Amino acid sequence: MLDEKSILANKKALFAMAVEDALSEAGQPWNKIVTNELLRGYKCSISDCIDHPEYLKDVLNQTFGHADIVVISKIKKNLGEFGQERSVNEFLQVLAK
Amino acid sequence: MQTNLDELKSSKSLLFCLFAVVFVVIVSNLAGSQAATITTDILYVPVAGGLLVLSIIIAVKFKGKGETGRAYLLFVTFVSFWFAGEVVWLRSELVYHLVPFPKETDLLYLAGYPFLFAFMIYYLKPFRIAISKKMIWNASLATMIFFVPTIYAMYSYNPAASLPEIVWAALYPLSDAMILFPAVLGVALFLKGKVNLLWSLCCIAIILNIMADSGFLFLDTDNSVHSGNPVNILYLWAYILFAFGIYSQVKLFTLPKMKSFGKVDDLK
Repeated sequence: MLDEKSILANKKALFAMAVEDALSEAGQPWNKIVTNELLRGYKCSISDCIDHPEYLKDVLNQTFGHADIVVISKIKKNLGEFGQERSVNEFLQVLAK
Repeated sequence: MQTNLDELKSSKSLLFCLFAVVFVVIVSNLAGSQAATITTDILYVPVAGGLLVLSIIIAVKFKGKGETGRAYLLFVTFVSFWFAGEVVWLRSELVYHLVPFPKETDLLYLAGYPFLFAFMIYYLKPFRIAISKKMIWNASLATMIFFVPTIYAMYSYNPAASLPEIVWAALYPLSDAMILFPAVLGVALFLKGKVNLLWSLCCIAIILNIMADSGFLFLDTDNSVHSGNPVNILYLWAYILFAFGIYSQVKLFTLPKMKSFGKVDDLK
């Protein structure tokens, strides 16, 4: 049986993978750029954004402008069926605002 | 806050570079056309060379990976052609005292355009689904605003010039107008984003090139042009704007200073 901590860690890892894959479609270094911006602006990493989706939304918008919707829709697609889960669903709702 | 400070510093440096170019070109023109030609020809090498170095740095950072990585390899190729054009121009004019027509430098400059166009297409490709019809319409309109007057000017400038001369000279503003289309799309697409600075500066650089090329077309047809002509300020400014645009992308890779974070727990 997985304890609560392991489930959270797995969820964070899965979430980080979904975001990194969405960013790397344009080029792997975009991961680094977004990571830097999160660190600079909010002192957090990509995986921490599952608890603070507004940070990720803000950084994506500040970096890509109107084109942030491309990355956001790819993240949504990558999360697929996990989007039904409450925490992921809430996260996606904040991103899509 | 740090980012705003960095942007302010960058804009100060940009303004300084733009004014420095105006100062050098105007002062050299006051000293005579030969001094102006020598100074301007030499000035192109560090300015275009600086852009080449920055474009190599950003291409190395992206390692040719993804569409943006490939885009930057195309950008390096574009800048390499134009830098080679500047060096060949300098050598032809100052060393061999040759001004052949059509100039071999023209081939180098014109060869660069398809790579600049391809750079923009590859950069925009991953974000293509965000391109709206309105953006395409605005980009088309902006292109036509420059395209139509250029075509008109091509026929109305000095009729004494031969047709091949006019067509050859008009190739530049027409090529510029064509690359303006993806540049305007990029500005609209990345509006309000940090990536937008690159596209805005590229767009202004292309407009400056259109103005300079149209100016050269006018001066070239009545043979009143010389290499030190102040119209070169526009070309030099275009290089500087391209360079600062690329520099804005290089800066995105800079890691924030860790010392300001204090406790490690603050990172979580």
